[in-house]
Amino acid sequence: MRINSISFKNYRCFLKGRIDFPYEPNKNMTVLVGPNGGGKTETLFAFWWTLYDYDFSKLTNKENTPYALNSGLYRELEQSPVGTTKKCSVTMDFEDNGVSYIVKKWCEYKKTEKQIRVEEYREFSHYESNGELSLPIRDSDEINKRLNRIIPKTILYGIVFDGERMQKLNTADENSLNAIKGVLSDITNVELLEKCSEYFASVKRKLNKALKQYEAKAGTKSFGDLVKEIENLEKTISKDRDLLSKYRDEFGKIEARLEEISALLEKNEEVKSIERDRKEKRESLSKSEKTLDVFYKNFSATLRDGYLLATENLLSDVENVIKKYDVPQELTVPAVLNILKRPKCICGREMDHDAVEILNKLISILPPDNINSTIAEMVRQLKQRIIDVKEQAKANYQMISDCEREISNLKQDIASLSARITSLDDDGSVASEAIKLEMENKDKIKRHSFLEISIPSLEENIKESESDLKHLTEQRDATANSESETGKINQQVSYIEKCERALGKIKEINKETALLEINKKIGEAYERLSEDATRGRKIRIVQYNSERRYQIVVYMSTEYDKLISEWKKNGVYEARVNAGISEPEIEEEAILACRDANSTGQSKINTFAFVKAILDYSNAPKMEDGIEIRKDYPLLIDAPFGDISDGNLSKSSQELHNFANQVILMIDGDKFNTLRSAFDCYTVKRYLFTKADNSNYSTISEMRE
Amino acid sequence: MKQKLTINDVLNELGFNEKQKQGFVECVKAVKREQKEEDYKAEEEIAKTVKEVCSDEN
Repeated sequence: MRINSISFKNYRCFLKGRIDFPYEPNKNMTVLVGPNGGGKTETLFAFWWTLYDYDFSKLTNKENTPYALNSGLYRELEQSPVGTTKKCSVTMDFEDNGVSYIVKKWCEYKKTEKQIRVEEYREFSHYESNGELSLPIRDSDEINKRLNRIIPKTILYGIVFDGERMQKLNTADENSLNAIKGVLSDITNVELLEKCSEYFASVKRKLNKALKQYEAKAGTKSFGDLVKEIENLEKTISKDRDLLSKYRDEFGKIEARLEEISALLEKNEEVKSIERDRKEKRESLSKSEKTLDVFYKNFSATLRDGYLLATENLLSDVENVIKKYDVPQELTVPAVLNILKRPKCICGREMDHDAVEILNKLISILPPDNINSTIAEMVRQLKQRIIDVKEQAKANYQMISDCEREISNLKQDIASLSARITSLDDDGSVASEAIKLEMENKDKIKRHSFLEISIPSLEENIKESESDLKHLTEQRDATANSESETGKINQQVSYIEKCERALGKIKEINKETALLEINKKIGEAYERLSEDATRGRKIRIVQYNSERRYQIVVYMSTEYDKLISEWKKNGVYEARVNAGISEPEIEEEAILACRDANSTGQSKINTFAFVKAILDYSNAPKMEDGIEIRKDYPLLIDAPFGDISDGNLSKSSQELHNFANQVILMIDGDKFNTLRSAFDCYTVKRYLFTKADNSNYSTISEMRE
Repeated sequence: MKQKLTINDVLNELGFNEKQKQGFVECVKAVKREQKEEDYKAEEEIAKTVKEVCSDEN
């Protein structure tokens, strides 16, 4: 990331101004020179305020101006009439990965009866590949999301410093530790691992949901049980089919024999007339039975509309309601709208606010036009249909009763005719052949009746079994499919769980290895920046001790070596190892036991080393398939050299240009004159902040040689 | 760099085969890409990769 420019309007101590940050080969610094109160710190935090937010009340000695607007303008506004407004803005232009961005933030302060109200705005845009500026994004969350990808808020704690923060970073207070933790999380891309975990968990949730759906679809029976059930059912169907075929054969034969018997009996003189009679009755009986079947079907069809009978009372209620709340036919929505369009009411009165409100309310409660008559017509038609259904059901029932009676009579007639044939034997003149035939006829009829009932019942059974078989086959296929699908899903879930376990381990290892690497880099940076390093003073970020984790500590290597050899001699070291504590942890314990105090200047050098280490780490090339991403952050630093002296001062001022690919340094005039030789050759531009006499604003001008 | 070996070691230790290792790295890369590209949907890519890795196992 590279900052190209920043411009102000009515922001803090600047009524207007612009600073450009150009880049030239081997020159990466921009130096802003100004006196105390000249706007150096205001400029530093303008970056923070524009990108995210900044609480100006945190600025020491400026608690009485906790707002972004220039304090002179703010006081002017306080004296202004209600409704007066003042505006301040900061626009920042920067680039990252070859794309240029503009972020603009502005505040509008408005004088109200009680106070000065402030509205804050921010917009974010980028230049398209064709050079055109994109439409600005104004949604704060969306802007933060995009900015977070380029320059996360947490990293600002590691790359934006004023002298006070430089000193504080070394202290063990919670804010400093959180700041260091945040910076380390960002440069080691902890977010990536957390996002991975989040997405794996989400994919797993979806797979488990699909698993449940498959299980529900497949039912409770196992594939094996279903196969067995199908086999049994197929056997039953096959048996029933065989039996049906046998019955049908037998039925055909019986019918043929009965016809034969009837023909033979008709040839016999003595029973001829009886048999003819009986044959006629049988034909009538067959016809009546068929008719009865039709009547049954008709009656069943009528019963299907039987639900209408249940709605009879409801329809009466609806009719009563319509009558009770009858809306006059003329009172329609268009009619009311027509009244509203008129300047005056039809009665000639002015249409006041209340009347308009009442009419609008009336529109909202009026039913759609003709709804009452439509409902009434629907009710009438349904009631008529109920009457028809009732009558139809009654008629069908009557026909069934008549037909059943007729059938019963015919059966009785046939039985008495049959009895007459067999009783002919009594007078001794009977043709024994006819009697034999009649006896056979009787038996055949009995069997015929049995088959007549059994065949349709068997047919029905087969039909039901076939339907069950179809259902079971479908269930078996679904279960087979589901078992294969659930198998696949289970495999995916177990792979995700494996990945989650891997992520957990990598997270731990990554944190440890990254901190080891950063500790190596902070040590190297300290060697280059601090003259105390030549006297054996060393630096470390606490890694294992949970109470002091992320604290920056310094120690004398001689004392540390002495302590370690003492621990080794008196068995403390070995005891710690036996207690399961790793060697690096024991070494850190020794470091903490002999940590050294810092002067203000030394604290600043420690921070310098930390900043150099994290910038070196984040800017180092990263592996394509690794966790981290290479990030090239600028360094913005204000008054870093106060309280630093001698070798530390010369070393840090000479090394500063090496910290990042872009360094923006804010410095007071005296320090600049003393130290400029250390960084002049790396400086592209210098700006001078000048405080206006007896005023609360500063001006920005470019410094010439 | 030590870290590369560490990731590989972790995956080996957990019994990842080559295809599974590659899938894991693809998933991490997808999230990494999402951090840089606005409209890239890493979660969808992860779901696809997981399916692909497991379909090869069948």
